[in-house]
Amino acid sequence: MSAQPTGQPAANSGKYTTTVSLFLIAIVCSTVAIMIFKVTPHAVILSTILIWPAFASGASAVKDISSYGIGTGVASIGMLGAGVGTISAFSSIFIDIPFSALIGIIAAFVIGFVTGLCANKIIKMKIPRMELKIAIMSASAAMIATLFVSIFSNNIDMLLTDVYIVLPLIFIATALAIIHPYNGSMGAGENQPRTLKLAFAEASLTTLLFGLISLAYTDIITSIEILLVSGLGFVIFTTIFLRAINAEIYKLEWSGVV
Amino acid sequence: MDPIIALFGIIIGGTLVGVCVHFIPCSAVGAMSATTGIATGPTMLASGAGMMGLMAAAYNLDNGLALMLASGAIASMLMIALTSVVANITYAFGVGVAPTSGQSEYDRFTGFEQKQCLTPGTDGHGIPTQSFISGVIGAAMGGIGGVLVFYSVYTLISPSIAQATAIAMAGIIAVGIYIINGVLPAYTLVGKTEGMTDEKFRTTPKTLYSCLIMSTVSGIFIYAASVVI
Repeated sequence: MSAQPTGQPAANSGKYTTTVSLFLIAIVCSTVAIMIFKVTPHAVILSTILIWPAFASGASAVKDISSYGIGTGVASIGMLGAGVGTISAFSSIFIDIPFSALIGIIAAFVIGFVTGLCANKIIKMKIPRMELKIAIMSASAAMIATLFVSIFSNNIDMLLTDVYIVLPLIFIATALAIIHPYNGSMGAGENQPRTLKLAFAEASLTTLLFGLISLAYTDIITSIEILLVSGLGFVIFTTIFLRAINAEIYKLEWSGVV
Repeated sequence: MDPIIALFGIIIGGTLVGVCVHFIPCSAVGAMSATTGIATGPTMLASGAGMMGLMAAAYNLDNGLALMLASGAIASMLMIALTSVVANITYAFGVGVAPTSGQSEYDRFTGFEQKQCLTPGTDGHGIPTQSFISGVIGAAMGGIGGVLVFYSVYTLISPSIAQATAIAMAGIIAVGIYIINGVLPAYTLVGKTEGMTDEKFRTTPKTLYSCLIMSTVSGIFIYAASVVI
């Protein structure tokens, strides 16, 4: 497989979108996604699509912080965000009032903001707007974890069954999906539009994974809906991502290894 | 355990976890034997030790907090001790360097001279005795802290859900708090420390305050979600 060298410097594969804009889109979409699923679980197709911007928002926040060179690797900051997000999302399950999922997301934002404040003011990392970026990352992780928890346990009674074995997977899958887009794209020539394309590809892959797992816990129609839309999304976003790579690289040669 | 005491358990446990990272010798460039410490990031190593402690402690859930704390601490200490020993075997017989501190003239515990074993151009290699002991102390603190968080969260949420679910959820929330409190000190250490003999150990108060604030905020939310609201 090879692409013709263009001889031109790597072109940016799209328009830069600020993390705050992405977050605002993500919070609207995720809130709608969670609410739709709570009201009509069979509209899970919409919920699955609407949760993808949260992955992009988290990945963009990881990129914003990590690009300053934090000294401990991209993985650690992503794990921090996923940690805050999932503990807030999991704890919010116990809140017995309407819209408790939103409280979890708000709590993740606040805890993330305080973490950033500690990092910038006490540890003196001096990374511009780190508080906001960690808050965004944490809230994005909380949105993702909340929807996944909702899929597996539409009401708290279901938590009494064996759904709990999925919880660690939600934590680590959320963390990887927001860490990897930047970690996989970083280096010379990295740009946000391409990183976001990978984020969407990984978002659909993550929902595909949970669609497969949901076969064991939810009704078959819900699972098939998640699988179909995630599979389609994965093919589309991976194609877009590969096209962006082909457009930006100098030359791609098959090394014969695989 | 009273819910308020459980809240303080989360705060104290989280803070202990944060401080423990300063004791565990690790360094990313340790992979090239260029500095003293186990070749990985502080967060990952401390989290690994903490998870080991949580797994051991979960088996003793029905035997009381004291036994849980002991088993958690021992499991974490074993994890760090074994990792250090295996790393030293690799450094000595694989790479061909002696465990040496780059910052101390003599080992604080054995009194062995360090500089004569130091490869020029490096900042130490392997895990010398002082770093090993520091790592084991840190692991014990981390294990106790992690178990304290786990048991406190378990106490708070267990009235609402089945025991197996409560264990799993308390475990994953404890891991989350472990990771949050492990990342903050990693920023202070900038990814490298020799343990309690390292110059950066003096920055521990920064970690202490940050982790105290973080654990308090997280703890209050978990407490509020599971008990108050």
